[in-house]
Amino acid sequence: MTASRTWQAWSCTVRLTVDDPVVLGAAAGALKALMDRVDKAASRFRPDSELSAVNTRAGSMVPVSRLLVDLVDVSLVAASMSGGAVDPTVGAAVLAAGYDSDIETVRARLAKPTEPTSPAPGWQQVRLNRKVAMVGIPEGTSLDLGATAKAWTADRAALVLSKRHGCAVLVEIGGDLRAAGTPAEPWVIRVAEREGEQGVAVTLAHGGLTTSTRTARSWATPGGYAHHVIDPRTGRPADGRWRTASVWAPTAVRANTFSTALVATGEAALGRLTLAGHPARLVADDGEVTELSGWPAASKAA
Amino acid sequence: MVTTAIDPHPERTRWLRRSAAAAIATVVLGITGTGLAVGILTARQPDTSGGTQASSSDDSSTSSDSGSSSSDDSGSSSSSGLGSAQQDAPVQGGSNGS
Repeated sequence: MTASRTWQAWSCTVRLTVDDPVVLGAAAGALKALMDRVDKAASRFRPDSELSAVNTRAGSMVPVSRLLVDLVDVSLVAASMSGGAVDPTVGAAVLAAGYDSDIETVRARLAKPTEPTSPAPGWQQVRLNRKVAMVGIPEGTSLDLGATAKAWTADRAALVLSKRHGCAVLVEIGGDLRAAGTPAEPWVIRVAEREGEQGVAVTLAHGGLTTSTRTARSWATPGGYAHHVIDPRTGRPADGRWRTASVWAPTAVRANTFSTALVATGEAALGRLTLAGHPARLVADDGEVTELSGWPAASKAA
Repeated sequence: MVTTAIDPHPERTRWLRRSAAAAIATVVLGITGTGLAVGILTARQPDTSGGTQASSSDDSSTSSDSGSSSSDDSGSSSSSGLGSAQQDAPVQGGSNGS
């Protein structure tokens, strides 16, 4: 028997599902506590976050918590894995595109013109000293860990909660899912471009399943709609072949790395995905769907 | 005058000498063995001073979890975890674009 709890955080839907209803309350409390810690460490919308301190003090090494070290570390791994398609140094580009506050605030205000952009400085510029827990970025650079922080949190929470309570756990934060433990039956998941839309149903036995899209977090600008997925090569919102990508991988971080890379850089990311052999479902601008590497062919409209 | 001490209990003396030798050997071997064990364990112990273990300051959910965040593949197979859903199966989660 499963039990789940759903709430809103980080401008997205969070859902925790366990196959032991007795532990749901404690597990939900632990997940909320972890998300609160991640928010305090890595939110770029909070002036008191550690990430804001790193961005404000660009040009010098800044002492940070082990948690932020982890989050920066995983963002650099994602950047390396994706060949730079998922780059944490797109912070300035995201701001230039107009995404400088919570997405609901950005949508609600009058459209303001976007600022000139330039290619991302590059993840290789980030200095991370794990031993003494310090992070440094060059002047003029700004970090944005939004691409990987949710997936990292889903991974960490699912693994820890499953181990602690000895049950199967499904953690869903926005489009990032992570299943841990051994459920009696695989979880049934609806994969959709946006919440509430018709999608396809698949089963998820273990690992991570993520969906990245440029159709969800978008806002009006004088030149049209902008969105939050930045192509690091140009510093502008991506306009590649696919508007949405869903990927399965052993972890949510890994799945998110590929799904984000496919939306951010399009076909440039396809080679790495093919080599990795992870199942993927891609939706092109015209709605054409491409399923790769063993994506369940019998998936149905949910 | 030369006197020769005669041990009235030669068997007992021999037993005591053997017992003493065995005790000394046990101590030496014990110290050596302990030293080797400590050496091996020290050599096998990874240097965690530069690791990326999550802080456990205010959230017990991460306090017992160690290791790099980028290698959290434990418990997961590299084989695909996806499958086809039954037509009437209730949906338990959603991966919606974000």
